[in-house]
Amino acid sequence: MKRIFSVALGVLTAIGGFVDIGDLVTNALVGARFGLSLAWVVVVGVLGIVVFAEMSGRVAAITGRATFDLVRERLGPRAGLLNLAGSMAVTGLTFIAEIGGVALALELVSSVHYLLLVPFTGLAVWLVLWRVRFSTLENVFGLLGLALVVFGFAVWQLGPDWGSLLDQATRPSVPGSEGVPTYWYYAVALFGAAMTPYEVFFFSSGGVEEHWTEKDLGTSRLNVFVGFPLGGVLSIFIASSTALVLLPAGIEVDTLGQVGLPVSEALGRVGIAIALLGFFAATFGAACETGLSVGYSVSQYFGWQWGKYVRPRQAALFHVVLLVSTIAGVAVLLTTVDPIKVTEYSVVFSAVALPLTYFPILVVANDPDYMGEKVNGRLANGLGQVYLVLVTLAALAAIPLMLLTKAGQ
Amino acid sequence: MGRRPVRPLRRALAPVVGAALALALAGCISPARTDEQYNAKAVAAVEAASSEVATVHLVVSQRSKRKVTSPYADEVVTASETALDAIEGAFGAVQPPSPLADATYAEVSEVLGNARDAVTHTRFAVRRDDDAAYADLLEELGSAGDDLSALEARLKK
Amino acid sequence: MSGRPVNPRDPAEPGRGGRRMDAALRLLDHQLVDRDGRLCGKVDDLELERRDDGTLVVTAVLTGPGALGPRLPGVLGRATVAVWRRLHGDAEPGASRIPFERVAGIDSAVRLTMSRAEVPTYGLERWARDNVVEKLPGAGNAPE
Repeated sequence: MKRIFSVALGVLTAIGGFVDIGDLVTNALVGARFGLSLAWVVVVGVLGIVVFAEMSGRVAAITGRATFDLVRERLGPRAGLLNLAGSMAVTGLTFIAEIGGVALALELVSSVHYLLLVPFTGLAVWLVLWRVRFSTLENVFGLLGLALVVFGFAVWQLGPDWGSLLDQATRPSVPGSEGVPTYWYYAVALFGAAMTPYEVFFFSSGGVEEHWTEKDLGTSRLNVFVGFPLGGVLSIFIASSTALVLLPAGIEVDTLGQVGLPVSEALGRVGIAIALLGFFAATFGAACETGLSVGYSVSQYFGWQWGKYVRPRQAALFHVVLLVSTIAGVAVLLTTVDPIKVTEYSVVFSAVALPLTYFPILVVANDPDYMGEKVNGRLANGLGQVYLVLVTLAALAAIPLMLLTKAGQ
Repeated sequence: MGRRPVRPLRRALAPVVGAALALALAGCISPARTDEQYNAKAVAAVEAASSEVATVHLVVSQRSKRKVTSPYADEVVTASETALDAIEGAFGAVQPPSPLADATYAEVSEVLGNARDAVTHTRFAVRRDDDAAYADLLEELGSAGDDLSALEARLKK
Repeated sequence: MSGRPVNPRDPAEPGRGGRRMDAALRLLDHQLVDRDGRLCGKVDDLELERRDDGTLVVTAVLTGPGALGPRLPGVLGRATVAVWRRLHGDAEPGASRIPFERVAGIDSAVRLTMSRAEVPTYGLERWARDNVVEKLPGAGNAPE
């Protein structure tokens, strides 16, 4: 019984923890402009992250080491440094976007200007990273993030023409009002949002934090095969809801407040309250995860003691990195840069960084010296290689498309 | 360790990356040199304003049906108002490339101004929780939205 | 004895009774773990000695910016070494050296017989602990 409970908890946490500010904003934005004609990208992206998260989790369970930790060993300090620089830059940008997202969600609740909430949010995030146990952090915010399922209820309540929705999704075409390059720009953005680089590294560092062994392979896989796709379904709910309410009204998403409007339209004040809880949980949880990811990657490159499984005084440099990153993130936000704009850029740059971050995972998971007989099978390798091609294409297309479409205008 | 031929490549790449970044950022507020470019900016401003007016319209209609709390409605309306300010300001800051474009400026700034007024009136009402005003405001917003759409269609011809 | 640049492709052959292994694969850039299981850096470089019979033997593990710097390319590498020199105080600090006798075992990580406080590069961690972490409340407590 206890076992079932803990397995269920893991899956639910994975579902609720999947959506972050990038998924929230990008899916809402895309739904309001393109309907469901880009839903297929979410499916492709989620499958990709499932493939690589499984590998990453397996690495943690078999070797007891995090994937990123092994990148330098396996590929050398130069490749490792390049990987570190790339993923830190993108994860740092995402971290800033998440903290901003928390402040925006709190602004909607409290009517206090979000800039005043930013330092408070930074402090709260840092305190959680300093004091709260890893599993508590994951469980609390993961479960609260399930509140976002309210978007699914909203779609149901809006009573849409399911046939036409399905048609849009399964027979995608560029809407008349949008250009083809813009369509593909948002395809890349959505892909980057679904496959955010920090998630796979975080997943395996998290496995080490929770002291996974080979026995935990099953749980890890369940989280990945069930949790992540269902989390992806939440993304599609968000896109569907804006497609049903904002698209016909000609509303384009540029604030978090607009993202909630389909829910209030369908479910009233109770709905919007739940949605706000979901916004807060998703962004705060992701802020903690991205902050930790920056700490993990720097510490794992240099070999410093890292992790929340030891007391802070035993992982001093790791905690210094966390502190400095949080302060830096808050400082950037206080320059009044728009967190929604930062989010939009972060997902596109995530797409650019994908090959850099995903290729080493494939290498490590294929190495029998580390993995023993749990090395990648043909399916994992086949899919892994297909996705390497896809992420490389997306990475190459991202910047040209951004310049061509002036970042999606 | 062995020297790699990285530096020449890096030197060549730097100005390219710099130019790319500059281009990307320049997309934000850049000058309009031809009437077509000015027209395109006018269309962009009108489209953005349409979205904001539609947002306010939706939120007011929800507020009148009590589907959304007053603070939330206030947040959304204020955000749209600020956005409209920025749209007006950004468009006004662009120098019309020729006197012909001045007519476009006059048309667009009038319609944008009316839209901004409608949203400001809405903000007044939402903060006072003035239920009685909502019906009229919805009309005012609706007509501002219609004007924006009509202008957009004219500009695109 | 300061570290000399090594070619990581040279196989290591510790004298009679030692193990032959590919130093590049099994040692270089691997995690260093102290006797209490705490992580204390990476094998940033190796010190090799050529014996009279021509074989190469690993005599020490080198760690820290002084060791990693020379292996990083161009400006970055030189900058790393310069920063290390500045932080260290000595005129020519070189790499932090752990004699190979202090290596207890090698699996996926390199396990040492010493505690990490004895590893020369621990200075930075100690600085961070004393000047930042210990100043904050709850540094020694287990996470809640």
